[in-house]
Amino acid sequence: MNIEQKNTLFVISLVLTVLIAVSVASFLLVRDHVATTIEGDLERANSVFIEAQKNHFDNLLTVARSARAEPSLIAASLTGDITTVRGMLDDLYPRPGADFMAVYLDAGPGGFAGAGNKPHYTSPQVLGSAALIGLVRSLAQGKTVAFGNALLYDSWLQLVAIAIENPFGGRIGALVVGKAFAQADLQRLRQLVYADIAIFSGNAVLASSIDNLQPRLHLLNGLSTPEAGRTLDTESGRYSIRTLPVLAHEGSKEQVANVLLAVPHAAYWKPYQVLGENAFYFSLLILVLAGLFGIAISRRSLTRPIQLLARATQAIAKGDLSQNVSLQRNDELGQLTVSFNAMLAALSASQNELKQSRKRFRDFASSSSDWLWETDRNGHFTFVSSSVSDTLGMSADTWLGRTPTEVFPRSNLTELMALLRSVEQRNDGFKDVEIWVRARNGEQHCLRLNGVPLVFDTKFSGYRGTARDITKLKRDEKRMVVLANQDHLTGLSNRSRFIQDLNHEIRRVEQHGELGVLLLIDLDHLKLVNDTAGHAAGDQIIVQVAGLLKRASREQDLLARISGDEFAVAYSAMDEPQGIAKAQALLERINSLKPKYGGRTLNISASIGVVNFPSQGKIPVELLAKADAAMSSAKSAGRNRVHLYNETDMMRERMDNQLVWKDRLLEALEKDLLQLVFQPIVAVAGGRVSHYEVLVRMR
Amino acid sequence: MSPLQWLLVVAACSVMLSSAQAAEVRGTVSVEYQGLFKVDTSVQSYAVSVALFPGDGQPVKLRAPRVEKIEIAENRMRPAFLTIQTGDQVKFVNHDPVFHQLFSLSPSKPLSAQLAKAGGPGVTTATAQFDQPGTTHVFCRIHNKSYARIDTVETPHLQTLQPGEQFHFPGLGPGRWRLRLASPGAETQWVDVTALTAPPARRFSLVSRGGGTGSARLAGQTAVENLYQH
Repeated sequence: MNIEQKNTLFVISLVLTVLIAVSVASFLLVRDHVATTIEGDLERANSVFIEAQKNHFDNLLTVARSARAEPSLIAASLTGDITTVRGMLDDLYPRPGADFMAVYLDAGPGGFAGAGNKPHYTSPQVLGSAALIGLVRSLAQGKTVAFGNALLYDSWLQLVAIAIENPFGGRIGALVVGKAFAQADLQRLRQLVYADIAIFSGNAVLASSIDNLQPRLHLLNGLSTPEAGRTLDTESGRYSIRTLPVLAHEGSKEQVANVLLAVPHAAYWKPYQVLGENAFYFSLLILVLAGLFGIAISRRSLTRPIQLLARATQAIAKGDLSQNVSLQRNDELGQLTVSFNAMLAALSASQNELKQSRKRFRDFASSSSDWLWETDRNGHFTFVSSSVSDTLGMSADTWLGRTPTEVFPRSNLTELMALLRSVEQRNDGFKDVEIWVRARNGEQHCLRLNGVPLVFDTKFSGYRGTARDITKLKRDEKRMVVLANQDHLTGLSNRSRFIQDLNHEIRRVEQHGELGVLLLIDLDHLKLVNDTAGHAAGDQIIVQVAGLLKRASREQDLLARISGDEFAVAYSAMDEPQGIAKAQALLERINSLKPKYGGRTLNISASIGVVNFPSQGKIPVELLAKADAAMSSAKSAGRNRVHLYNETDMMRERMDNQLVWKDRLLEALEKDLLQLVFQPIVAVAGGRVSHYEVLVRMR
Repeated sequence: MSPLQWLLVVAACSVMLSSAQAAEVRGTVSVEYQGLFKVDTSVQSYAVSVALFPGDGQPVKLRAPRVEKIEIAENRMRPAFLTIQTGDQVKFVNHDPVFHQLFSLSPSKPLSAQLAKAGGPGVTTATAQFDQPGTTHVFCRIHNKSYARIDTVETPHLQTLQPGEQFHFPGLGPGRWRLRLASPGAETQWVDVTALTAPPARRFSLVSRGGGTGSARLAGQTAVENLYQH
C-alpha cells in the first residue's frame, strides 16, 4: 500500500469516523427524545381515553334519560309486570345510542327484561349476571346514576343505570342502557387518543388495533400497576404500553376487562428514520465531497511531492543520480526538496569522487608490484587485486572463495592459515609474514604479507592486506650476502667475513680450552707478475693458490682472501708447532705449483706469518695485525719463508710505518706538496651551503 | 236442484236486478306516493277504505250496528285500519300475555282502556261504541308502535280493500254521489262520482305523503360528520 492509498484510507477513515460519531450522537439524542415523547404521549393517551369514556358515558346517560322519559316505559313499569315491560322494550328498542336496554323492576328475582341488538343480551343469564345486578344494586344506595362495565360473552358493554321513578314518587325499577364497544369505536378512539388500543380479558382479545396480539396476552395479564417504560414486542413491532383496568362498577373490585394503550415505537422513529436517512445520504454526499477534496488537496500538497521524492530516491537507489526534484514550495516539503537536491548534489559529487577514488585504487592496485587481498573469517579469499596474475601468472578470479592452502596445495601454509583464522588475536594485524609458495609452473615464490583484521560491529570478519612477491629481493639479498662475505675471484671468504668467522672461532676455542693457529699468506712479487704478465696471469695465480689452500684445508678450517695477494687460514685444534709445520707444508706446495701462463712457467713463492690464538690475541683484527707483522718480518727476512710472530715484529712494523710517514711529510713540506681542499656542506632542505669541510691533501 | 240449476237461477235474478236498478259505481284506488321522502318499499301498504255518500240528497239507510273486532297480538292491533259505520262498536281483544293500555285522544272518540294479560285474571277485552263520524287514533300507552285508526262514516256504503283492488257499489240510485277515499298512509280524498248503469271502472289515486323512507335508527355521528364534508 503506497502513501497515497494510505492517505486516501486515512481520509476515508476520518470521514467515516466523523459520520459514525455524528450518527451515534444523533441516535442517542433522538432515542432519548423519542422515549420522552412516547411516555408523554402515553400519558396523554391515558387522559384522552378517560375523557373519551366520560363523553361516552355522557351520551349513554342522555340516551338512558330519554328512554326513561318515555311514557310507555313508565306505563309498563307501573304495571309491575315484567312481561309487559319486555314487550314495551321490544317497541322501545332500538334506540339510537344504545345496543342494550334492560329494565329491572323492584319486584324481586326474575324481575328484569331486556332488549338488545344481540339475542344473548336478553338471556336470563346475562340479565341476571352479577355484573348487571351489582350495577343495579349500586343504584339502591341512593345514587341516581350508576356507571359500569360488563362483559357479555365476547362483547364489552359500557352501561349506565338510572332509576325509574313512579310519577307519584318512589323508585319502581332501574333502566340499564348499554353500548357495546365495537371495533369501529376502537378505531375512532384510536384516532382520538393517538395510540393503539386493545381491550382484552384474560386470554381473549375483545377488540384490538394491534394485529395478532393474542399470543402476547400472557405477558400483560400479570401486570397490574401502571409502570413507566414498559414495552411489549409484537410481530408488528415494539410498543410502549400502559394497561388500565375496566371495573364492573364504581367501587367494585371486579375487573371486567383490561384496556391496553400502546404507542408504537416505529411511528415515532419513522420521521427520524426518514430524516436520518436523508441526513445520512446528504452528509455522506458532503463528506464524500469533502473526502475527495481532502484527498485531492492531500495528493497535491503531500502525496504527490512525497511520491516525487520517493521516485527520485528509487531512481537514485538504482544508481541514477541525474534525478533532480523540481518542486516550488514554501513549506517543509519545499525545504525537504531543497535539502534533498542539495544532498543529491553532494551524493553525486561524492559518487564521482568515489569513482575517481576507485579508479585510483584500481590503477594503484594494478600498477603496483604489491597486490591487495581480503579474506573472510575462515580464510577464504574474498578479494584479490588483478596484479596477482602478473606476479604469479594466476588469474585473480581463481583465488576467490579459496583459502591460501587451496590456492597453493603444494606449499606448507599452516602458519599463515593459523594467522588468518586467529580469531582471538584479531585486534592485532600481522606484518612482513613471508611465505614460500610453489606456483603452477613449479617456480618457488616468496611472498611477503601484511594484514589487518576486519572488524564489523565488534565482530571479526576476516583480514585484508597487501602482498608482495619478494622472490627477487630474496635472491638479491642472498647474492649480496655472498658478495659481502666472499671474494668474487676465488670464492673464498673476504676479509670482513673472515674477521666475523674468526671471532666466532676464537670464542669457541676459548670456551673449549683449545688452541688455534692463524696463518697470513702473502704471495711474493705478485705485482711483478701483474706488471709483466698482466692481471689475468696474476688472477690465475691467485685462483690456483686459493684452490691449493682449499684442498689443503679441513672443513672446519677458516679460509679467506683478505686482500689482493693475501690469504688467511685459521686452524682450530692445532698448536704452534703443528701450525708452523702446516705453514711450511703449504709454502712448499705453493713453490711446487709452478703455474704456466703464455707459454712460460712462473715460479711463485709466499711469505707466511704465523700467530697463535687465543694465547697471542683474542681480537681478530689484532690477531690479523700480528700475523701481518709476522708476515712482514718474513718478507723482510727475504721472502719465501715462514715466520712465527713475536713482540718485536709488531714494534718494528710500527716504527717502519712512522719513519716512512715522517720522511714523507718532511719531504712534502720541503717540496710544498700539501694543499687545502674545501668541501662544501649543503643542507638538503633549501640547498644552501651551511659550512665547509677543510681537508689537507698531499700531491 | 243441481248446482248448475242454482247457478242459472242466480244469474237470472242478477240480470233482473240489474235491469231494475242499473246505477252503480265501480273503480280502483291506488296510492301514489308524492311525499318528501323516498318510497319505502319495505313498509307494508295500508288498506284503502272507500265510502260512498249521496251527492244529491239521495236517501241512505244505515244498516244495523255491528261489533267490529280489533285483536291485539304480539303488541300490535290488527287490523290497524278500520272503517265503520256510525253506531258500530269496536271490541279490542288482548291475546298477548302482557298488559296493554289503550287510549285515544281523538275528539270523535276519546278512549282509555286497560286490557289485562290474556290467560290471566282481569278483563282482556274492551268495547267502545263510535257514535260520532270522524277519525279516531288508538294507541297503546305501553307499546309505542301499537296503533290503530278507526274511521267512522255515516253511510252503509263502505268497503275496505287493498290498493288496486276494485270496489263496486251496485244498486244505487242514479245521480251524483261522493266517494270518500281514505288510507292511513295517504290524505283522505273526496271525489264526486255519478252512478251510472254499467259504468266504466274509474281509476282513483290517493296521494301519500307519509311513510317514505325513514329508519328508526339514526345514522349516528356519520350524519354530523357529513355536515362538514363535500
